[in-house]
Amino acid sequence: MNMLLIFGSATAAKRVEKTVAKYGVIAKVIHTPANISKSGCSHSVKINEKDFRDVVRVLSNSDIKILGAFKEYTVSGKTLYKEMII
Amino acid sequence: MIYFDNAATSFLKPESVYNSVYKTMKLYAGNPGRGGHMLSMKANEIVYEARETVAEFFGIKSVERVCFTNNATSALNFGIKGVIGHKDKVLISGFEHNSVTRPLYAIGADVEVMPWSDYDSKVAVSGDTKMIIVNHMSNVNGNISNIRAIGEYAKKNNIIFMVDASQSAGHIPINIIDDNIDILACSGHKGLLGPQGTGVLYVREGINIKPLIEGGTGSFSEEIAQPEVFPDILESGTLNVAGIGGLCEGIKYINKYGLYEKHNREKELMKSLVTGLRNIKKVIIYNNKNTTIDENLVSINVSGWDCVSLANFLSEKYGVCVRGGMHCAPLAHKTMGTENTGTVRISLSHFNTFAEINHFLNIIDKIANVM
Repeated sequence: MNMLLIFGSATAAKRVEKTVAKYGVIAKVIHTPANISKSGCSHSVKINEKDFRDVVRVLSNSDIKILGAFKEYTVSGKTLYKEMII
Repeated sequence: MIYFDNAATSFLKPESVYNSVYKTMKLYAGNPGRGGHMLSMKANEIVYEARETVAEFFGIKSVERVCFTNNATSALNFGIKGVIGHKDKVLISGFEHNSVTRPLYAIGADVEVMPWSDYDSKVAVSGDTKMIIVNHMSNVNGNISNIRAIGEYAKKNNIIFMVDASQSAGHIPINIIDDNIDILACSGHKGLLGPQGTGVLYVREGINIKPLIEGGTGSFSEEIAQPEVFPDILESGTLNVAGIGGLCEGIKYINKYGLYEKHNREKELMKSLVTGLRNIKKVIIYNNKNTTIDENLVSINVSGWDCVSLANFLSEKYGVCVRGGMHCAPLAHKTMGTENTGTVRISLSHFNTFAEINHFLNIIDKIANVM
């Protein structure tokens, strides 16, 4: 299962990708799906669910703000998202 | 051809800069931060790497505070007009470029020019001064202002300190923490060896800045108001990805060559040039206030010659590129006392050679003594 963390800018998302990589977490910047984007266009970082809490902990010690977190799951071949509490 | 106009723009760039620009345009130049396809993401990576490289080069902790602009003029306009309002008091050095003085005039700021003697260590300001703007290295005579001392003064007195590093970036070490810089503006295409169409603006966290341009940022698109997050707040519209990637390669080249080594090479070339010029009668050298000329540029005149006519003659007759005139900095010429004549500016690059210097000196000697 993957998680999407939404950020305010493509720059912030890229910074997160590089920051968590230092902790061995694989993250990938993607364009946030429109149905979960908090306010129109945004960029997210996709991570494995197992890394979610570690990533949140790392970012809580930085100036990077997470705008939203969603769990990705599939129903009948369709990708859906469930919002998580950070 | 001899190119001695590196203060206007550096003509020779590292091979890696040319290759990067071409490769990015040919293979990767999607629109960064606009969409999720592979070229958009690749472009975003290129821009991000450049941001990181710039941040590291200037000791900037937060990579988001590095904003890319079209040139130093844009960066200075953003920094000035985004922060300063009508009648706000601003203290500037006597070497400011029109890129500083014209925006200040346009917004009706209350501008005071500090005496030249104050640039080294002290400044005297009244209590309501909002910003101090200092040209780190004069584009006319290479005068260096002690930004660290002035920045320290500004910090102690809660005054925003803005540095125009258009001429110094890529020549002299700059660290925004050590030098107490709140806002830094510089070109990407001069000492940093990037392509034209690139500039950098750093704005410290806590500085309240308004954008001059609003528009698409690829973020918060449903909101009518411009996003407040950096760098998006100051980067509306498609970025110059190829240029920014080239700028990144320029800085990486400097890091590899060594900033101190590059600076020392420029100083040695300049020493050779000035030593030779001093031996030619009729040549007037406009020193900075110290007796040595350490940086990569110097202004001269040759008795009996109009400065622009001499620069034109050097180009047409000898293929030498120097700049004559006021260098878009009439305030600096006023400070130097050359407002009625202008000067011929010779600005070197570490790519120049001692053979070029000697050839140039022979030409000037011939012009001064024979023609």
